Amino acid sequence: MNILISGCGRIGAQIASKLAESSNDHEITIIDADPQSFLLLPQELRFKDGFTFVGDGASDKDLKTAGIEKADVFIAVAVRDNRNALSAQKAKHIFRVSKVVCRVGDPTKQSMYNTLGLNAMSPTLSTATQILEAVSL
Amino acid sequence: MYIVIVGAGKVGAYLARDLRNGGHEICVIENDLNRIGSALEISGLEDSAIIRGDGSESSVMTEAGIVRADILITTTGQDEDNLASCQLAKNIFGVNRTISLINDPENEIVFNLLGVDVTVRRTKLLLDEIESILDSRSDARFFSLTGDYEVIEMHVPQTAMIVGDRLSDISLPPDTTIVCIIGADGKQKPIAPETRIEIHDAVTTLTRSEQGEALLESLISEG
Repeated sequence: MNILISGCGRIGAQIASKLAESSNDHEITIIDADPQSFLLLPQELRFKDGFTFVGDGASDKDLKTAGIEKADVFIAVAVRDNRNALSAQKAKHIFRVSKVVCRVGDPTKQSMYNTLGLNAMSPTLSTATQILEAVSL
Repeated sequence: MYIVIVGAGKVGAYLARDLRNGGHEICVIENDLNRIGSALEISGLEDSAIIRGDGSESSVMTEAGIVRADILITTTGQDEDNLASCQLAKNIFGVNRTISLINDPENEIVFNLLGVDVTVRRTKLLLDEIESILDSRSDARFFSLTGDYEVIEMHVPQTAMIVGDRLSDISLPPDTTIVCIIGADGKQKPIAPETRIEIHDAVTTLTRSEQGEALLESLISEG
């Protein structure tokens, strides 16, 4: 599988590492405008050829250079909701990536983007749900 | 009409002023406190008509009364924020018409695909402005529309060959329509074959962008 991840924060770095661990067959690229963000990756991934790409995850040009046209999966997990939604919608509607997942904190937006055909996840909702579960014990 | 504007930078503030003067009810959403002061000054709006907050956040939009808005106009410097506001307005709050400023021209395609009704490129606004200034042969004003059309208003100079001609006698470039003619007395003239062009008539036409020059030429030329 060819996987492109936008945003190398804690979530993005975690996803990239787990995916790389799970199989050698995945071809993974993680894109972030800040080269420092790649420090969150394990060293062997940080220096792996083609694993990291410094660029803007919402720019057509940078997404193309990072290989979005070959991607089977696009994951938008940068910090800002609206930026994730823009790059995810580009991935889906312009680059026709078959599987697109996007992180959106605001639950109203999350449900809207789901209705619009994006697979939107809200860390806000999942954290709240987990805390509620923990409390009810 | 009730119009909500997101972003109170220069574009948002002047837009608010003009629309308010046009008799519309306006609400502006702006996150940056520093901008709110100058926007109040420029627009002449009441304090209560500017809401401080993130204009792409549903709770803030609700506070701005977005559910009863006829039009949403987004003018922030961030395309992703403009898009999110427009999408919320359309899909969650049922706003009929969304208009957005686009900062990066490459984003125009995705905005149009995702149901933003009208997009205005910032670079194009600037170019239009410069072109209007540079066009020393007349005081023509340009306004760009979707799909490479533009509206041009120009005053017929004394020297123009078309002075005294009937509309039926004037040859215009293809795909060009005369939208209205305001006489020197400030009154509208009928768009009819027998209407005659007089000196200082303000003629407004709709045409394809690439024909703007040719159109001006045919209306102004001295023969």
